[in-house]
Amino acid sequence: MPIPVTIADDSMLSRKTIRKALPPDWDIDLTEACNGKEALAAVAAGKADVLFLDLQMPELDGFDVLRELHDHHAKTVVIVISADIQPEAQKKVAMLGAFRFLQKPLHADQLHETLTELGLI
Amino acid sequence: MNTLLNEDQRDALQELMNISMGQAANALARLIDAQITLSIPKIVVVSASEFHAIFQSDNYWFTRQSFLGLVKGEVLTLMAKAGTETMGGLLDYPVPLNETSQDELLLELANILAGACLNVFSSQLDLNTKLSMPTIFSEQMRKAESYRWISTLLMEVEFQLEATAFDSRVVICLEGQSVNVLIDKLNQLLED
Amino acid sequence: MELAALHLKLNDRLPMGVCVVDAGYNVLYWNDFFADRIALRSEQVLGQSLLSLFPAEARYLKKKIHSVFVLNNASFSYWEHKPHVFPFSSSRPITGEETLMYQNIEFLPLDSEGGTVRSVCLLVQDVTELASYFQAEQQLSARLELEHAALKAVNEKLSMAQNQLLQSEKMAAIGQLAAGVAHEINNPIGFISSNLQTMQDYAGRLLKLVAFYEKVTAKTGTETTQAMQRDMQQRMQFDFVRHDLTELLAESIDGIDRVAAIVKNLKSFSHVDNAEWQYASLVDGLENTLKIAANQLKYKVEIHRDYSDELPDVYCQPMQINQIFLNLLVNASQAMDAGGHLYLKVWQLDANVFVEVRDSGSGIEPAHMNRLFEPFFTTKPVGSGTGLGLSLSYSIAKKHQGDILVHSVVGEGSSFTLVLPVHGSDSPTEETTENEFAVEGNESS
Ligand SMILES: Nc1ncnc2c1ncn2[C@@H]1O[C@H](COP(=O)(O)OP(=O)(O)O)[C@@H](O)[C@H]1O
Ligand SMILES: [Mg+2]
Repeated sequence: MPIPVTIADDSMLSRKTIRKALPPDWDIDLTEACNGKEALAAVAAGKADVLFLDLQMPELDGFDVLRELHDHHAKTVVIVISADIQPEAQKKVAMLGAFRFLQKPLHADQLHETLTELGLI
Repeated sequence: MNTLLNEDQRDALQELMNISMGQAANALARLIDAQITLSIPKIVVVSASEFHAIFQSDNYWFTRQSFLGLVKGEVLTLMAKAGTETMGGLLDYPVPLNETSQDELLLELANILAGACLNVFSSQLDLNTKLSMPTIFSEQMRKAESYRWISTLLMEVEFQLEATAFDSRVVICLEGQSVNVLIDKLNQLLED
Repeated sequence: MELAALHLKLNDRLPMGVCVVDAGYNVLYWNDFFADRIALRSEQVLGQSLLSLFPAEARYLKKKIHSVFVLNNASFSYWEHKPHVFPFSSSRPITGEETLMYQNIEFLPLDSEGGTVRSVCLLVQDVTELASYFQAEQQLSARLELEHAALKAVNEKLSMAQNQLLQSEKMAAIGQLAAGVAHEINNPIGFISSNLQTMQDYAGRLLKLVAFYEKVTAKTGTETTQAMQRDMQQRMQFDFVRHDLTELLAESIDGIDRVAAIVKNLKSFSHVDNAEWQYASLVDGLENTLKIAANQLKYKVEIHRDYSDELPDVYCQPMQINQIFLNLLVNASQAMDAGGHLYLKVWQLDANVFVEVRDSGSGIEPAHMNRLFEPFFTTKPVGSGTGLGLSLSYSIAKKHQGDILVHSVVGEGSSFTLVLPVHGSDSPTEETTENEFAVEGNESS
């Protein structure tokens, strides 16, 4: 059965970059979200066992989404992919229960490595 | 505001700037062990007189540097006068700053911020640009009519040092022909 | 292979220093620009630490190179901030003034893998010529700025002097006008005054005559003539007229005397009469000037006079001397803002007459003593002081072969003493003086 995966990023280019970096043979059911609200909706709808999450987004930002998921003990595996890569942001994200933090610009091999580490592929 | 870029191109450019800014902020944040607040990048086409107006502010110091590669242009860095002393302290300059050490600080800051910004931006698009050394820039005396161009594409990001008055804006300006090169590159990125 | 060798050759011919170091600051390569100046070939320094090769600037080099490794971003060193990072001697041993080379340095990430920098390249540019040109330029502009400031100061002084001149020209014009007017009305005043006196005499006689007639009528007149007289005197209000006439005349004479005194004062102060060299009384000059300066002194200052008897007249230009008195009196009064005592003393010693103007004012700072007579030296706010008063006074005193002596104690007061030789400088003998005076007297009459 395909894994429900959601990419949440306000930038079209970034969503595309992530999409293209995914392993081609990975069996997934992909959803795309343009902001935090849509991301949470995807989680609620059971479409996000894995969530690729940008931090700076309109409506709800990535931190808000993480907080929300944290509060509801959601079982979503969150991988943050962010342009803001300052130590402070990374620390905050980790505290809010994100599994991994990846830098933009995203490199496909880094993403693969991460997915392998997490046992997702 | 400008019809130069379609929505996809604008989105792409904005995201590329976001990433560049993120890297630059990270470089500085690591150096001074502090957090930097990022803004949403601004991408606008400005006229010479609008460009000129940037330098009429008394609140900033300015530096400039040139870059050359597939695209060419100049990077301007604006640094808030109010925060220079704080910044100097964080970067281990002897404060209060004297004229020489202040210039040195401004040039170093500009180099870190503008350097990181432009390098990351250019490498994402394979523009292969090389950046020259920054110099202090004072343009207040110059007249808007004296510029040799009519309008230019301007990409601006703003860095704010949390809990201080320091704030800096890096403005990447592209020379006329380079805008077309940039658009071509953006299209390639969007297509494949 | 050919090309690589060519590249190395080319490197050695470059007019700039090229040096590559690894993450441990060890030299991987440097070109002849370095080799020629350090006398160590690239192969000889291979693997040696750049920091120990240049210990004097090791800290700075380390910081710069480190930042390139960490940030993967070029760094720069400017001659303005750090002129001589490498101890290379000047490329202008003959024509240059400098002994060390001025350098701009670029620190570039040369090759990096996955964001990790592996080697950093230093590009050293000799900017000695530029730097010395720039420094000369700066010195020049600093000098220009100084000169500009000096010029500006001179300009200000000039315009102040011009103001002062205008002011004194105005004063002179007013003086001349006053003298003219004084001269014109002097005559009418003269005959009005003498006529009034005559009239007073005549009126006295007329009244006596009337009194006589009254007595005669009283003794010899009839009832009728006596009644006629009473009636006539009543109609003419003669009792009142008789009384008032004397008073009116006395008042008028008093009035015209006062006018005459004012005119005399005007004449004695105005240039016209006194610009010429003549023997004049310094006490008169001082008193006349005091009247002019009275406005300033009137209420707040108590004046004490101590004039020797039998002072000789002094050969001088009285108007000019009055100018000195005026300056000294004004200064004294300005030094006594809150009131005080003004002591005026005039005495003679040998062939000199001394006039001392002493006040109980603020006194003068010792540091200012030497500068008092400098033109434009003033401690007063713009508008109230020009700094010309004393310098002008001094030059007048010098023209008279005299001098001005100062003594002052801060907080107690100041004393300025004008010393004038009784007979001037090229003081002629008594007789010729008499002659000269006589001639002048003739001319002016
Ligand atoms: N009687 C005095 N008491 C104190 N200071 C004096 C006196 N006379 C002159 N000075 C000092 O000398 C300065 C120069 O005097 P002067 O040449 O008359 O110029 P001015 O009165 O316009 O300042 C004054 O500004 C004052 O400082
Ligand atoms: Mg004076």
